Amino acid sequence: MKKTLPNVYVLTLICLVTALLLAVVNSFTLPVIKAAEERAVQAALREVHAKGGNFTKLDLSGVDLSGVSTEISEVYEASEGGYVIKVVSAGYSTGLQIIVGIDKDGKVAGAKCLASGETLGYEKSYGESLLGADRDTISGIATVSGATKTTTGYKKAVQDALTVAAALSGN
Amino acid sequence: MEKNNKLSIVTKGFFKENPVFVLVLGTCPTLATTTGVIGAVSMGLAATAVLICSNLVISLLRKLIPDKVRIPCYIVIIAGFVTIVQMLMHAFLPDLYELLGVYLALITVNCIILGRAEMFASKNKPLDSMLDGLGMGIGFTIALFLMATIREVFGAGAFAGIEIPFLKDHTVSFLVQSPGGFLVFGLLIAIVTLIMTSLGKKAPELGCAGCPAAAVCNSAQGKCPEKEVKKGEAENA
Repeated sequence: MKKTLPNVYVLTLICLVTALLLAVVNSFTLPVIKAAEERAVQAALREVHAKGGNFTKLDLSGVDLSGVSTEISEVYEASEGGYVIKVVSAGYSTGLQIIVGIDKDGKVAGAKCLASGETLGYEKSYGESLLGADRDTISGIATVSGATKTTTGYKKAVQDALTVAAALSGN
Repeated sequence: MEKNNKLSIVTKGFFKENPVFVLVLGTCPTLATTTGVIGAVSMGLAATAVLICSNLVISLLRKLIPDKVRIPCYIVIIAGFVTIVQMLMHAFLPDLYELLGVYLALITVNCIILGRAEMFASKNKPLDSMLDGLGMGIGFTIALFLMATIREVFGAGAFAGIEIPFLKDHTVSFLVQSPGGFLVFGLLIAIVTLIMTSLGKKAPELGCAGCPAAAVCNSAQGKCPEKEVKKGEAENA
């Protein structure tokens, strides 16, 4: 036992000093990393809502989401009007993540698939066919034959994003 | 005399005891990060920084660290420095951080770093250990640079991301894939061995002492029951 204790002490001491050093380095690198991540998020948001200006994340706890069947994961309000909404829908597989930009007139300014488990790849370019659509016209846009489940899930995500945007803007 | 000795500690890692081509350590990151020159040199420099720092600290603590827990102590020290490098790169060189991906964290288990800690830093003075880390790091970077140059120039028709006329239209894409990595690696080892043989220099017989796994290896500890191993040990002795 007496022989084992110094081993424990030394290893513990080295672990503690290492943890302390890491905490010091983390204290000045973390703000820089967070700022860079924030810039990356803003750039991604601008991809689907180019005229949005700056984006602020909104808290959805007080918003009425009845009539929305997909998962609304994040909502950002654009300083120049409109919203960017991250939606998780399901196509042939679950986890179809779509980011939708909605301009101040309530029309789709851009839509992009962030991640999916689909196999045909229609989710990568389907957003282009929904540009300019609003709550009234989106239902008239045809789904892609042969990839109906994917494009229906995609369209449902955009429809729900339009519903959330309308609820947020009080329309 | 002392100055020459210090210089030889640094320079031996460049060629005579090159960690990649002679000691054959750190093969995994060597194969993985040499598809492009920028990634390869970045990996080499990151590993060099960790080697210098970990060698210095391990050498300073060599009389304090008990023999039985030396490997966990070395791993904690090395992992600490790797995490520091990782955090600094993430904050100030985010593109390189993305480029190196998981291989940056895997420097912790790079055999070169643990190997030099066990083989050199734990037995030598701090300054010598730092110089050894510097030399081995430069040797590792040179090896990665050479391999990446061959693979990127002929495999992707570019150098450091800049396209090379003619070669960009006549690429051997096999070279930037895994089998191509093994092929280039083997050929470079053969060339280095050939040069050393022609210069009348023999590759150092490092035996089990240079192996980072020696502490937990029965063969290295002389506990292996197989006759062949004992015969080999007797011959080496």
